[in-house]
Amino acid sequence: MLDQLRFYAAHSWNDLRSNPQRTAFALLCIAAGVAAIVSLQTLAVMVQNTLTANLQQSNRGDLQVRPASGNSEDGEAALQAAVEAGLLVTTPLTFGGFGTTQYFFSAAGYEQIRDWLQATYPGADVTYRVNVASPIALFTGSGQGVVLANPQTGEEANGILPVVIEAARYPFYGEVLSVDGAPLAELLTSPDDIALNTLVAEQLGVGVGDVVTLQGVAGTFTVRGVVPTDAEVRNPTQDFLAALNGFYMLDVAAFARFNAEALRIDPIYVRLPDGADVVAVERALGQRFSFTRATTTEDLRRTYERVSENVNQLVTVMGLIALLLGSVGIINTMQVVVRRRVLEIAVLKTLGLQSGQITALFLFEAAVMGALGSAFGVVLGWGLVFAIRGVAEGLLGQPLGFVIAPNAVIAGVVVGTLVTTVFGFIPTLSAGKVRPATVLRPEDTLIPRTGGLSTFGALLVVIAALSAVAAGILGSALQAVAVIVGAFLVAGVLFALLLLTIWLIGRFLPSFGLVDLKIALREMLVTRGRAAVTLLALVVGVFSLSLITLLADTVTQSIGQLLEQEDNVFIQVPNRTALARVETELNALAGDVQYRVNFAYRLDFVEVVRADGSTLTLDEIQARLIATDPFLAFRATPAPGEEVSLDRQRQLRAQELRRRNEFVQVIGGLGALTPEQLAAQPQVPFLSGRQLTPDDARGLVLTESSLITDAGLQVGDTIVYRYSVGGFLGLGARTNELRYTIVGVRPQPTDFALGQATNYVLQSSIPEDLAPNSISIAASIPPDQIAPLRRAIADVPQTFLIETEVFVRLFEALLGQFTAFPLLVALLGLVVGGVVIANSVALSTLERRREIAVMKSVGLQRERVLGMLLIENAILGLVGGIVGVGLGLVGLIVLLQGQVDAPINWPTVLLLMALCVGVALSAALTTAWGASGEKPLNVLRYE
Amino acid sequence: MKTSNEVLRAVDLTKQLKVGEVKVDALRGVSLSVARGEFVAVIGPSGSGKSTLLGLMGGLDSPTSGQLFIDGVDITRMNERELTRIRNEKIGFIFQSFNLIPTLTAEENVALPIQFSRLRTHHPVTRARELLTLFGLGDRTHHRPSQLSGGQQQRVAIARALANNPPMLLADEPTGNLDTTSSQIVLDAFRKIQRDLGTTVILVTHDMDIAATADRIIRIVDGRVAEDAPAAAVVPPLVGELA
Repeated sequence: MLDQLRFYAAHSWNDLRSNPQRTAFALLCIAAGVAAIVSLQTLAVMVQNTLTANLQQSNRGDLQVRPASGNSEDGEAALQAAVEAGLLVTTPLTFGGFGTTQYFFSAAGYEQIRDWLQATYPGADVTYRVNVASPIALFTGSGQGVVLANPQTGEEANGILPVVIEAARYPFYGEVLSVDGAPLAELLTSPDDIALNTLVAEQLGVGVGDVVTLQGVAGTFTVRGVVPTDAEVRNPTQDFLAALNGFYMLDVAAFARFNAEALRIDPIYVRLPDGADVVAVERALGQRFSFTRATTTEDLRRTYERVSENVNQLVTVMGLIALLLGSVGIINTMQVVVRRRVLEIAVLKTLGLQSGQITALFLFEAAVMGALGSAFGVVLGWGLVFAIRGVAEGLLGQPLGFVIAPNAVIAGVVVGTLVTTVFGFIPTLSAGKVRPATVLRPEDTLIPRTGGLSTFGALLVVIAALSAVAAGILGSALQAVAVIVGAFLVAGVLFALLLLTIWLIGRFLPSFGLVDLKIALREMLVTRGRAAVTLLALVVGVFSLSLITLLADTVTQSIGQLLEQEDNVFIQVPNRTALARVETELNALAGDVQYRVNFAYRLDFVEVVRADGSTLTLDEIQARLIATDPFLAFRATPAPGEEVSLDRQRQLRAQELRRRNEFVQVIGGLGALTPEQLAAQPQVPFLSGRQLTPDDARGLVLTESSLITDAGLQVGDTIVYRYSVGGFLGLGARTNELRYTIVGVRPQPTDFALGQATNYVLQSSIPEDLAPNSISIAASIPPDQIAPLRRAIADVPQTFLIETEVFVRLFEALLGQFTAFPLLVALLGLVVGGVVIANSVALSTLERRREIAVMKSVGLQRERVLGMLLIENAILGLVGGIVGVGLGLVGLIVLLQGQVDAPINWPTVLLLMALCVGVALSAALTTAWGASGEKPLNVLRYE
Repeated sequence: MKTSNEVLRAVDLTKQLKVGEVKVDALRGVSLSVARGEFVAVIGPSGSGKSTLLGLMGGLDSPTSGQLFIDGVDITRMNERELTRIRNEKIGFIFQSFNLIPTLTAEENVALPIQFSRLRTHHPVTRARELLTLFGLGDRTHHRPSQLSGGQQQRVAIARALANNPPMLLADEPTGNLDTTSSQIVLDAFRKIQRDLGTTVILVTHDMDIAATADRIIRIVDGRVAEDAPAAAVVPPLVGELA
């Protein structure tokens, strides 16, 4: 046995050495996949290390205390009690018709918590952060405290995170130093001092000593220091916008300059004395102050570990996909290795090697290739980490230190070797089938086909082995089998599609009398099986790249259409008082200003009265919604004899209620149109019924949605609503009823309509006593008047101005951040695809050395021979491009499902196809150059 | 069926080959017997079926009909696995184009059949060195085939064929790719093997001078045994015919 193993080893090693080019490309195929696994996993470890390196710094204390969320009845009651006791203050937060309440600690609340902590845990230290801007203000870049400006140049920076803290005490862990090395306590000594992060300072073009203004705050601030971004971006789950847009820092003394009614504190940072049990403190705090929730360093560790685990799983799956693509190269290589050594195999069988031993010999060689390629991949992966860590650093806003992660290396080598061996299995099966009598007729070296049953059996073995690998990554055997079987099915369909395309082109594309093209087409036809397998790898890479690029492109274009709309500003106001103030400011602006006000109302749905007088209650509608939802219908029906667990019943009930609530939300929202707005409605064909007319006193137009269709609502049905008037806190309110009859169902609108309900009635049909739920203004104003307007209404509470240009810019930045990583992985896939093609061309030229030599011996120049190979590969690249990009387009259409009304960016499509051809041509050129230059006599004599 | 002195016996062997769509009768009822330690030459014109016969005798292929006994055991009823074992233990093969494994050294090539043998009567490397020294290649043990001359390669192939000490050696045009001097060395080696080791040698050739070195000549024509006689009786009348 040991002797046999020694023979396998010597034979494999010698064979790999004797064909350096073939070996190099095969190793590269494996290495590219393994490099993806190693680099992505190493990156995940680097992210985890950075996040968990100093949890106290990341948490800005041992504990971070915030007002509790009012998700339960008890929680809500505790919050209300704290508000009534003056420990919490509230701010309503409404946007687009939806509202919530934000809770903050008041100065009294902060002091009570501080005093209790310091009395209970002597040595505990407490500080806080003042909230001066709501999340909506920050996201929309409007309101007080979120826009900085350079008064010298007029340059503005939008959506900047305010960090208002006690400069002398903040933060408890990890000092904030300016780029000049000055601590925060020295930078912010007066209410007029400000520190900017590098991003904002660069954007505004300001430095230490310059002055800046803050929207909604009178006077100027003097820049005392510029701090690095990672000084404040410490927790990626909280500090995402700060990393993206930047931040500024003020001492709490500056809060007096803000136009605010009360101090709003969130969060409170706590530093505990050494040796304190942070979890016990958290529990005691929660018992003493039930309206609080605290995040401990332990919570943060758990969160980060969960995030890291998910990221790790995701990147490993991505790496595995890259490796599987690279394995196509192994299949090709092993096929050629076997084909070129049929005679040798026959000799070995003559000498007494059994079929199984022959297969084992080649499998051993595949395993050696796997191990060597994996080792090479590990080194390549480390190199790759340096190239791609910038993407992760951009997402985290923190620098990442390089580490050698043993797990990543082990995973890369084990998975690489295993996958290579597994993929080498099918081609080597045919080696065992070589007839020994071939040795007597060396010219008859046709490789026998592996039987259908053997191939099927081998495929099962491959699927089982890959499932075992996937199960190790995904943690579920069933899921792993499903994923691998699914992947094989998809690959099978793709393979068939590519095979058919290549056959059609090879068979029917006219050669226009060009001999070179004719030979290229014939060769393509003969080797279509391998060409299709090779293209499989390229197609997956191109498909991913196309889908991500085109999706980002189309969504950006769609959002970009906002810029082309007449309205360039949208303003959300909370009530009629605020509306009056904003209208005054709008009318005071210089230049051509046009605007319209949209009112939206929210009503309680009661029932539907059908045209025949029968009624449809909410329960009946819910039953219809469940019956028409295939997922719910399936889950609701237990299999014969199956006992439905309580947990499943609960899940099912929650899903049913979600459908019911969605319906109530959709049907309860009504827009109100003035006669002018009705006249300006786009002329679109209705799905049923008609548009409203000024005479439709009780008419309603619904917008198409699956909920409306599934509920069975039709033109002629009357919807009965209810609304409350008057009263306080639910007491003494009067309930009125309102009925609207459906006159038409229109298709989904494609224009941007903030705060506008999708179903609408006439404004004249809205009762006087029904208050609007949302008021929004769509305005078209001169661009130079936008900033003055934003500043003028900055102090109007709960009023947000959205500038389409700023919104689009922010959206693009977010999109760029989110697509950076998938794009990177797709590019890796494309590189692997390129390597597989290079490998395939190298193998093809190796097999066709004799043919090339014959062509050269009858007088063809090297360039001509090379040209033929390039034509063949350009056609294949084009096929890969058409199929890959085509599938990307199909994926795009399926994903968007008509939600985005933006045209497909055809130049990008063409560019992606050209990229595919380019990859195929470069790969072919790299490998075919040497083969085309070989001396014909050498080949003809010795081949 | 086994007789103590008989190493191979063929009974009415036929073999039909398919060439494209056409079926060709390569062997049409060949019967013969070869004794232990005999040196037999199988001759015949190109396409007569001699290589097909060699393939059947070596268990490389199965006959369409008939029986073939090696050491008294009918190998026509054996499956591929059993045939492989027979090839490994009972038969040594030598080919015109040497067919050494190009990536292995001379020593590794010779040791190969022992490494995959069930019986393992010898240590592979020791045996390989012994045999290579016996054939005058003691200083070439670590050379690859590409570093050896044709004659040296064929001697390595002979050493490999003898590795498991088989009772029968089958050689298909063993001197076809060699010059006269090398051919003579190879033929001397065959004679030495037959005489000293008692190994049966069956040689397929179309060269009468080489066939004349055997004890017995079997002439195959159109898939049938046309003549089976001692070499001395066959050689003179055939010289003119084959030329």
